[in-house]
Amino acid sequence: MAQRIRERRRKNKEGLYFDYSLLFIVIFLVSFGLIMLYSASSFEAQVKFGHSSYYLKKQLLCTAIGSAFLIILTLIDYRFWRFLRIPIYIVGLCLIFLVRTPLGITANGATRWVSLPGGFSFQPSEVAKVAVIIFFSDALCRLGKSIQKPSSLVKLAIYGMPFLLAIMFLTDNMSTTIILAGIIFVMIFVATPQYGRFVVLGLGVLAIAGGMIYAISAELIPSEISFRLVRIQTWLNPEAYAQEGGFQTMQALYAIGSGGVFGKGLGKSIQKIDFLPEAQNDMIFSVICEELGVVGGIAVILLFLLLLWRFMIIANNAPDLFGSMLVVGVMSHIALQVVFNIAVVTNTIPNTGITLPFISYGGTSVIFLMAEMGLVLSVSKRIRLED
Amino acid sequence: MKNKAVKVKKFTRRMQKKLAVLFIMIMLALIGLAMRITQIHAQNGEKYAKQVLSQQEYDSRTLPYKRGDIVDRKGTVIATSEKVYNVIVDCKLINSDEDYVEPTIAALIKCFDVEEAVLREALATRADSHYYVMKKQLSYEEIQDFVVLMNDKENNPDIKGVWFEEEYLRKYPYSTLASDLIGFTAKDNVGYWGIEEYYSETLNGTNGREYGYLNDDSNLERTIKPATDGNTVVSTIDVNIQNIVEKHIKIFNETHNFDESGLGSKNTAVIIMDPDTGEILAEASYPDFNLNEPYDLSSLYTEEEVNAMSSETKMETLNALWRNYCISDTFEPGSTAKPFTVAAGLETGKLTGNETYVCDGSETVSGSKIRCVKRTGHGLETIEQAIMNSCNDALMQMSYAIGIDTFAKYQSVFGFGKKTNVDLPGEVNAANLMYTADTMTAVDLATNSFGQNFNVTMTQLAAGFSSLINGGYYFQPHVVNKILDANGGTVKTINPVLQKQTISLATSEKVKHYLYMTVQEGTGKSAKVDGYSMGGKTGTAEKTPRGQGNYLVSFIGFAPADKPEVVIYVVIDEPNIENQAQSSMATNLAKDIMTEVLPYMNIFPDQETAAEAEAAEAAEPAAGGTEAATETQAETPAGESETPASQNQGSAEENLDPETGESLDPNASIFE
Repeated sequence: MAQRIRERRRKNKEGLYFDYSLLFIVIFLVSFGLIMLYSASSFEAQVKFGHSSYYLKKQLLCTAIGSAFLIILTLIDYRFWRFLRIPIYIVGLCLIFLVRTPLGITANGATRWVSLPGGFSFQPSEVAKVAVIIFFSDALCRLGKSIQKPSSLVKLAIYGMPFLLAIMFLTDNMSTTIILAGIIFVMIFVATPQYGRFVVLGLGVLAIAGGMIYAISAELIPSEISFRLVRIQTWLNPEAYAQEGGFQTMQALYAIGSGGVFGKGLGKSIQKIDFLPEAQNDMIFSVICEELGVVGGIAVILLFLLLLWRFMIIANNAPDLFGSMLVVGVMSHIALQVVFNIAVVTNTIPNTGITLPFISYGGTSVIFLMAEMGLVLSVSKRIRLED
Repeated sequence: MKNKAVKVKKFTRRMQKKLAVLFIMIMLALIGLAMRITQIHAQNGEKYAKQVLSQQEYDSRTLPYKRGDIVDRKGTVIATSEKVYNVIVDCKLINSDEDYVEPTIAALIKCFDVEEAVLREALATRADSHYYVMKKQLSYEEIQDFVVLMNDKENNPDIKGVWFEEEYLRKYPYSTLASDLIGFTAKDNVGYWGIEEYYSETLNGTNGREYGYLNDDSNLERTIKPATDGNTVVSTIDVNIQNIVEKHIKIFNETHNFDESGLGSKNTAVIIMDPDTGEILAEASYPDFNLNEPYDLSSLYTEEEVNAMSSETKMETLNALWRNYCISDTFEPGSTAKPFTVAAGLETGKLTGNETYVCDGSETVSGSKIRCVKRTGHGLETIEQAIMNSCNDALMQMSYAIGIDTFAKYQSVFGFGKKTNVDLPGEVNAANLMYTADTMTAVDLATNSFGQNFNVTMTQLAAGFSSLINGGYYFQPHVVNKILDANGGTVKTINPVLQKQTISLATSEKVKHYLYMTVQEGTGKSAKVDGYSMGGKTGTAEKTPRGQGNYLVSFIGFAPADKPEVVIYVVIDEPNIENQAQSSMATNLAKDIMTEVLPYMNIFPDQETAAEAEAAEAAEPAAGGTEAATETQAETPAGESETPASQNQGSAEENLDPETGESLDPNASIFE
């Protein structure tokens, strides 16, 4: 018995793994994000709040809180969350409903924040993403091979719908709904053996989107309907729809285009001064391109790719399916936001309000992203090294 | 333990493969986006970079420079730029807060002449505009009421979104004074005509700019790069002399109105020049125009007439009004050219000054009979008497002695038909209306000798004439003698440019004496200012087509006679009187002007006045007016000209028909 214990200890010490590469990439991304955030936001902060580090300080505080979450979650065995899946699900959902209470904060025409004591506020939709990842990882584990049955899909749809509908209609947040649906879709995709149904679904979505875009650009849709699709029109012709958001898109493109190969230099963006709305937010990637050039922009993309690569490695080697699905959920979350954000900034897809993980301004977002990293690192810690 | 291990579901191979597929798809998407960034840069990089910079312009503010003044030789301001203010309304800012709208509108209505409805409509229709120009070019005083309201933050905290854009407005305090000479400016300080055009670059400065930038601490700082104001141009013009000249031109116009058109002549122009430097002291032509309202034709035409004009006609009319007659129009000078002929003869030794000529009333050249002013002939004359009598016959005889080659050379020496390079835009030369030694025929020589059949501008003749009487020094005429910077420091002094020696001092003295005698006792007598010694020569040129009774009368003179300090040249194109062929029109005008100008210039009387002379010795009376009348008695009938020179506007060649040679119609006369 004593020998067995000793053996286990040895195994624990030498056979268990920790993904330092991932940790390093995360630290690098967060640090780089803070620098870019300061560069992009200092002008607006100075004008609006009188001191240039207004946004930076708030983000720093949240990053500190997030780091604490990261450490704690790394230390806690991820399997622990499996038992709490139902409370997590309920709490996540209830938090969304809080925006409809007096605690809700309305900003920029949408109620997406909930106030906390001490003048703080947070975004329930960020919590929802973590809740969904944890809950669905467990659900997919439980379904196992029966996931191929149609009844399982119905079951999964029932699990997901409350979140999607609440986010969509209570917080009026289309983009987060898309991200959530995307996370669920990708997790189901990975967990299901078949390809066919996903290919058909993907092609179907593409066909509908393509048809709609064609109809709008060819002016087949009567104008009383098409004005509701102004985002798509703006996307197709940003200059003509400057008032409807095209201005922001054009300014982002100007920023990217004017940066050149190596950029204007850190802190030297011209566009962030008065022209690029939300420079520290959704549009921060265009400031990166303006200041650090095409090279800087591609370097950031590579960094995210490296991060996703580490996720894949961890998911493949996780000790159990639950751990793998957790990592796949986090991976899909980050991948979707990165792809959507950069696609919006480059006007490759119509404008949606999706932030760039770790870099865009947003306290709740960075706290829960760090928490997710903690989950992934916790999974990586349990990897057994094979002899 | 083992049981547990069995229970744990693993991430299967199939799932790993699917995850790999997912990763590849994400990778492809990211590669696509990286390509998209590269594509944006490659396709539109430069365009967007420019766009970014041009947007910044909008953010920064132009600080306009002040165009320099034009002042006269004594420093009197003739043209200046006054700072004016445009009222700019930032509609977006006002609309951004309901509290701002009403107080701001109320204040604007109270302080400016603007209708509430117009303002409200602008705020509604241009709701997103930062830049709505509500009022233009208000003076400093006119905006003060509002500035006081706006700055009173305690009582009026909600007056927002109004600012004043500075601009300069060109003003001409003397309105019409020297209008042709000064010229005017249009938008963006572009000068048109006159000094404003010729010295436009000098007068203009460089715009400044106020712009914001981020300093090393990323704090926004605003920096001002101040405007550089333009230089001041000091003209040679003397406002007082110019005033005297224009006053008398106006009187002339008011008192000569035979056909009731309201204008005393087709054009009345005067140049006053300093013969020792070529500086133009005054230069005027009438009709003039208001420099503050250069497009206003109401002083010359009724509203109906202006409205009836097509835009082309209107532009032509305006251009005719703006052009400077003294440098842009050519004409046959007539007898004022005679001193030049004599000077050429004397200078080359072809004449000695001791010759005598018999004027029998006409000369026959190459079969053409060319008549003198006095049909019966002046009889035996010296050169001096020929000039005094303005005898064509004697001048023609002199021209035979001078010969075509010498004559043509001296036309060029005196600058006829050549640009004088006066510092004004629009100067013409009349080279194509001149003869060269190769093209000049005997008849041309004869008619040229007394100033017909070739064209000059007033400036050409005045500059050449100055050299005749100042010892032979030909100065380039000019209207500007100094450039000052905005603070009054001298940037450049423009010294008189001595271009050439036309004749010797001895010749100059002789010619000066002849001209002195012409005013003292000859045809120029009516130009004489009592008490002053003067010299000068009249001219009465019949205009082409001949026989229409249209004349250009002129007088060019100087004072004092022995040491000339001022030259005056008066040209009256088609005086508005019944019989135009009266050079007394010009001499009287010259006399009126000189009577005031000479004392003003501190030139003191150097002769006994007529009254003194009469008292001293009851001498023969001198009645100036009668001289002019006799002078016009030229009798050379105008036949149809079929000579080779007929393509020339100034063709005065006489191809006289013996049958009509006896015409007594005074309107048929051509030459004095």
